[in-house]
Amino acid sequence: MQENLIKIKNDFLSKVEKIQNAEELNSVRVEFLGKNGVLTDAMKLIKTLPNEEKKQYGQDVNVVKNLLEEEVSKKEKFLEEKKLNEEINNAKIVDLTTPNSQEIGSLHPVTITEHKLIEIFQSMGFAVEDGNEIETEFNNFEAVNVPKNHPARDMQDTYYLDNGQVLKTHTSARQNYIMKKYGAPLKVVFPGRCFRNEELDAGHENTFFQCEGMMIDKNINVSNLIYFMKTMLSSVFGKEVKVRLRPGFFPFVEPGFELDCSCPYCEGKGCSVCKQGGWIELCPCGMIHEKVLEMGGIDPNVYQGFAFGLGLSRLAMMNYNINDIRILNSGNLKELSQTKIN
Amino acid sequence: MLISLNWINDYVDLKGIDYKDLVNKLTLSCAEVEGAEVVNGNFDNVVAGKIIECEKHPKSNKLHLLKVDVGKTVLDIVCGAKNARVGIIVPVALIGAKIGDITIDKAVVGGYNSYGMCCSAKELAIGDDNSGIMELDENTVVGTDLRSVLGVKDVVIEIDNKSLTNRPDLWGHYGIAREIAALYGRELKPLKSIELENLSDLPKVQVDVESSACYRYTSCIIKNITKKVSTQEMQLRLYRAGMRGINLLADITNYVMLELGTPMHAFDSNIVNRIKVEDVKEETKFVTLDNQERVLPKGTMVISDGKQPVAIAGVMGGLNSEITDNTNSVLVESACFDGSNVRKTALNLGLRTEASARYEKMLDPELTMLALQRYYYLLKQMDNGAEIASNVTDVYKFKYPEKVIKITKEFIDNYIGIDIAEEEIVKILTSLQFQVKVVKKGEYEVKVPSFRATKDINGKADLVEEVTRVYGYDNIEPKSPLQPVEPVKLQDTVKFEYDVKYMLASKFNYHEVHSRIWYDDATNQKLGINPVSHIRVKNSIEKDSSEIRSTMLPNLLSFVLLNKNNYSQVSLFEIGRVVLGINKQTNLADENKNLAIVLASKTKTTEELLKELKDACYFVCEEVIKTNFEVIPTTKQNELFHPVNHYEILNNGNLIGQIGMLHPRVKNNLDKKLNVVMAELDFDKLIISVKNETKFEKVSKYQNTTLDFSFALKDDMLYCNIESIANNINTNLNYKLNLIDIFEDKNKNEKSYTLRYNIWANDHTMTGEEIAEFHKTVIKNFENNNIKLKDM
Repeated sequence: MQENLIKIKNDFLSKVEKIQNAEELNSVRVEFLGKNGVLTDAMKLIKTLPNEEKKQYGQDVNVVKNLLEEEVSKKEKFLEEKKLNEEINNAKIVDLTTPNSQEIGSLHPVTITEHKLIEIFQSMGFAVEDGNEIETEFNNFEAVNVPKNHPARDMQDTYYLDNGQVLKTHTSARQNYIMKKYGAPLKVVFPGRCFRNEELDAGHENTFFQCEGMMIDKNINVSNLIYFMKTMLSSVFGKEVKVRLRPGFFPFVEPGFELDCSCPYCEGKGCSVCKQGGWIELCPCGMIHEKVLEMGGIDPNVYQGFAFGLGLSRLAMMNYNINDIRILNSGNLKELSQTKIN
Repeated sequence: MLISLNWINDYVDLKGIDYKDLVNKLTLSCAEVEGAEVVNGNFDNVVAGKIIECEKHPKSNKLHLLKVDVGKTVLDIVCGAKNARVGIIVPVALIGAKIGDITIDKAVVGGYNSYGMCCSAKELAIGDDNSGIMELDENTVVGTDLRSVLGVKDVVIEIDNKSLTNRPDLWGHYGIAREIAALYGRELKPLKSIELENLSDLPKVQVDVESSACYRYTSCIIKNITKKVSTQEMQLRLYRAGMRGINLLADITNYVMLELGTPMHAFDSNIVNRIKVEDVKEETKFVTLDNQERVLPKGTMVISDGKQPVAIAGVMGGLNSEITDNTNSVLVESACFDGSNVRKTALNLGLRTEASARYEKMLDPELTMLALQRYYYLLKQMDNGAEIASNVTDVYKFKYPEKVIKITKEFIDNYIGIDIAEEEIVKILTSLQFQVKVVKKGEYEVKVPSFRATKDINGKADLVEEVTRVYGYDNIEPKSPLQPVEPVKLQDTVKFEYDVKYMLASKFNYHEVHSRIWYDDATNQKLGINPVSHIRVKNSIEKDSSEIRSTMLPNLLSFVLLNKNNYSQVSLFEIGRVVLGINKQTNLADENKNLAIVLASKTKTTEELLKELKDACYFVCEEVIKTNFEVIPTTKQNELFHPVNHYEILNNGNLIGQIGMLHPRVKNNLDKKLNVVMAELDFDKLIISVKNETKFEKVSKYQNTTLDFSFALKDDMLYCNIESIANNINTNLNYKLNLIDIFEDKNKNEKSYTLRYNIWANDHTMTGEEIAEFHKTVIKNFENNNIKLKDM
């Protein structure tokens, strides 16, 4: 190899070694490999050489050129990597461990519980109905087999209004309407707000929610009622529960039952929720009284049905571990905002 | 109701039955047992002792120095009881005895040695009498341990009265015993009584029944009564059942009531010797046994002696005819009254008694004769000299018809969903004293016993209940019905209510609350508002809460008051009911479902809040419910809303709500530093106009372009006006209009709005001329409305 080429190569390598950034690399590249670069000039020398040396010289120049280009590209990569490392080393850590700043509103505990219930009942083929809060005395009492002067009216301290209507004392007040609207067969649930004129304390509210349900069809019986209640409650609590029936008197059903559910919190072993009893009284229910069917325009000789009334406020309290029912109507955000949106 | 198992054991042999099992069985098959308590007094080593000497303490007015024979020995005891006297037999706690936590020791009382203590019933926890020492029956053997004298050890169970509402037959021990006998398949023993027959030689008590609410009145007179107090055993049972001993003749009436469930009354027959059951013709003052003067409203049913009332029928006797120490003959009644009549009287007088509570359940009139016979039997047991002095007068005005129900095994099986054997059905019904006639296999005629026939058992379903509850509800397997399940679509009102709530809470961070359906008068007064109410609660026990709301905003404002000090912004919403009026034809409340939102902030301006709230309302309508939403300012007066910043919300031209700032006057009453805005929408109306589901429009493949215009406006010009001008243009091009900037120059009372038209053609690329033409049209259109482009 010609000395001049060796010199070029050595000059280049010593310069490249000192390079610190992309700009310097570029100027060295132009100096050696550019149009008027040192190597291009060296190439031009070929004309001055004797013919027999020309081939060798041309090859040597190309060898040097390739080497230089390779060195430039290596250096380029090296510089990029170096820069990236500098950026990485200089990067600031973003503190993701700070508390969430996103605010969120809240749904009422009863709303969320009701929504879950409705989804369950819907999946079991029940239609969902809305109901009034103000009802006629007829709908609230007579239509569900509680005639005037019936002692059962004492069980429910009724708010009477000055136009003769009442604030509904139970969701059963809607039964007559539902039967007339749907006719038999029917499968409907109807949640709603109910009112009882009583003193407030941790366990008693004058304004609370129930969720009523009815199923009417041919050949409906007590074992069907138990099936639906057990399936529904297992779904509500997200685990298999046991249910048991006890006699309970409600004028609109015959036979009437108190339905207890094995305590889902202690598996029936006894805890504060079930007051150590292992069972939770959850749901008055029964086979719909034939008079109630008749008043709803349904022939009791053809159709039977069951009805139940779930304590929705109570269920919400159990869901969220709320120990004072007054919280539900308090409007106190310190308490209520805890539920968030589900 | 309290039930003593010792007492039950008189009628059903409870041997071998664990009381816990009994409680469980009763709860699952009969009535709810609220609790069971093993009671056993609170003493040990107490014996019967007879006072054989009784001297007054020389220096004390109260103390007595006694010599008490306790069988093995005679003890000196110093005693402070008033009734201490020679001859009576009393419980004596011996040295070393335990009374509660106290151990009796030799003591010096008033300077004298005392070797034991004479006890009152209360001290021993076998009664509530603490007026003196307990006097045991005169035939008690001295030295006997008190526990073998009295049935001290017992189990008392408490049954929830509510679960007995429909079971008049269960309001006494005998009725409960009947259930237990059926549940355990044991024999129910008959009640011991003395038949009151063949008395026709004796004079009759004159009984006139005028009130139609008196179904039956059975009475007689018993004379030669010398005993004054009932046995300690009877008093103990009364105590265990929650009553107390009064005197012999009254105690037996109560005892029979606690057995049979049917109340009785005993008059001193020297004072009352004839009976008239009547309704008082005018308001009448009457002093009851509890020494209270009461005013009986006109029409109240009473028992009178022909001259004056001596008892309020079914509720309570009168002081004027009560049994006294001088009573030696008694007129005993056992009557049956109409339940609702007694209930009404008890409610009117605010006097609910053991008797009235039972009568209002509709008692069985057949029981009155048995009650009278039982009374006589019990009296003779305690006072053998007592003697019937009259024939029995039995006025039986209303007899329930006999009830026979036809039912088949098939009906029972289908109603329950299981197969119960015929023998089982017959056995169960018979054990509950129904008479079952098997007409042919699987078909029965069932005669209802009188004590179940007054209201409880009416039809086939009632018989199914009887069979099933004794058979055991636990034995019914859950079974799915055979009907197919079909998908159900949620009603719009239910679906949208939840969706709206979810959106307001999750997107706008508002909090859902429930407020009451009535106003809180006190809060309204504080806020200085008087919102409309069309209807009132007549009988609320809470004051300040009678007027049913026509708007939910006042109640939400009261929640703002409650929360404002804890948060910089309080954002509340509620979907609830209001009453908008009374329908003149039907007189029914016009109830409506509303959505109300209130925002209150210490940091944001009212303008910021109002815009935020408008966005929320827009989202509710346009995005969740997919219905039309517009606001226009209104000048209608409203005490809650700011006179200028008050808008009506329109839906397809119909008024569906309002939105605005809180009236400055109310704001000052609430909190001057708080900015408050609010909106209330008619949710029912919103739901009616739900649009069809969203459909994608075809997007043009040709290029579009945007044109921006800034118009100079007076500051009271509203965008809704600008928008309608902007849309009133004549063009073949398609466009979308947006407001992209608002600039307000506060110094000049001017503002400018920048509108952006995004324009395109569906079938070709727009030419420059077309775009220029559009531009010109817009400007000209605005100029026609005296609106010019803003100078740049």
